[in-house]
Amino acid sequence: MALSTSEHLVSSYEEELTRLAESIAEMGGLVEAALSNATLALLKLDGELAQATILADKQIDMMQRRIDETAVSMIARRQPMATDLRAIITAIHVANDLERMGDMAKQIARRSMQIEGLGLAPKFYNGVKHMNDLVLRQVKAALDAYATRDSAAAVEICNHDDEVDALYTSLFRELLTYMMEDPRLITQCTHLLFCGKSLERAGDHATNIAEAAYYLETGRQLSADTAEDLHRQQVKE
Amino acid sequence: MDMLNATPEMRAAVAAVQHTGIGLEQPVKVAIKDLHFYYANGFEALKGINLELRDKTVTAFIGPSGCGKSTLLRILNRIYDLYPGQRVTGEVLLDGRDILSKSEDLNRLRAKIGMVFQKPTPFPMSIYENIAFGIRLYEKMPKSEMDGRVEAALRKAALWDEVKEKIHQSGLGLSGGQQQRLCIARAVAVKPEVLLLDEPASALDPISTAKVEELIEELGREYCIAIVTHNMQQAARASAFTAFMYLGELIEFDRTDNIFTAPKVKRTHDYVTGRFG
Repeated sequence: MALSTSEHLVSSYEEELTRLAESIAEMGGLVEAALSNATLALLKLDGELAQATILADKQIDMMQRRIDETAVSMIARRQPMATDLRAIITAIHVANDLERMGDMAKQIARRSMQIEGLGLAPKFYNGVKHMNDLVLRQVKAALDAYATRDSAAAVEICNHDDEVDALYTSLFRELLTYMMEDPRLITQCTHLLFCGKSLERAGDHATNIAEAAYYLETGRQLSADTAEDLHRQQVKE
Repeated sequence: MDMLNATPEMRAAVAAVQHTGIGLEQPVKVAIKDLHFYYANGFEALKGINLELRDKTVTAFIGPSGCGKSTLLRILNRIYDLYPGQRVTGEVLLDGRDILSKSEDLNRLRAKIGMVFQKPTPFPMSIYENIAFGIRLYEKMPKSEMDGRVEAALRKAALWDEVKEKIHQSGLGLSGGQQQRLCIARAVAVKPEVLLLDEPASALDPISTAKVEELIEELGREYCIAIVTHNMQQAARASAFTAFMYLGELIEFDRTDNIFTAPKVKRTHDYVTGRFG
């Protein structure tokens, strides 16, 4: 349902909504970069990049506060309705999810600095790298679905979250095996495992953003709709 | 709603509705069927309206000027009858009885369907008489009983505490908001079944508006209420159902939540979000 094609009678309102959407896109870009830099710092054991990623999180936090303030002020002054209301409410949600993802990136960057110097063979990083690629794809797709209000893409993204979870489970098993084989690796492997967990959480936040995109476009909660679909299937069977 | 197929969210919503005493579970009080309205010059102001107003529920009518929402309200208690040449086709069933029929007793009808207008219209008489006047038209009773009825009506309109000391002073001496609540008390005093409110708060300041809205919420638990308003936030705050009208047609009718968060028709969406060009 593409309802919001025409423009507002009050142009300053239209501009505010556009600016809010742009802020989300900008913040999304920062978070994508943070996640990718954090993992890169981990893979290359690049202390400087890790440091820079940790610093960049401050800017992400600041953007979240700014988006929150803008949204609250718009609700108070404009009394938004329908798609406008949904755009503003989801902006608050998405900014919150992005901020949490920024924290995940910061945690990975911190751990990379602790692993640094502990010396691990490249094969240990394969699982994390693989997860990182998938999660980054999910994050990018979720932000695109939100920006373009694409509810079909949003459903697709939510369905892919299982893959991230499965990858995390297999990473867990793999690292556990390494640790059992050689207890001296427990410290490094535990750090890596937590990095994997952070990525898995980031994937969950990407799903949240996709759900926000679905709600923004349709006005319905995705979880409620899928529950209803399931129920309908069960009734048929 | 088919509760077997309802999701937990839908059930919760219905439970909330039942809790507040408003919504789908209430029986239909007024059924409007294929209603057309023509002015004396032949202009068709309503083009086939089909709509149900439920008992003990507030239904709001919104839409741009000239969309026919006030006209619709004026048909419901046949005020249009006062103007020769205006005519209406279709049916308006109050508890299943067609109120548009020629044999309908208009005095009885207007006691059952009360109306309050945009501007407060107190009669130039005392507060007490403003209310007793209407009751006397329909019922004879001793003074002591009448005192009780007047007090009850003023209490229902949340005005009693403010006027009980000066009940025999002129109603014109009250503030605008108090006058409007006096008019609501007057409408309520004759024990109506339906209340029609045409922009009841548009001439009032925010505090008086809030009091009138509070009153609408209270009365909505007892009466079938239809309110016409230009103030969309007011419709959103005060009603359980909202009807959006445009150029004499009913464009969308749904639960108020849905109309203001996820309307289904583009025209409704454009209107409630302020995109109407």
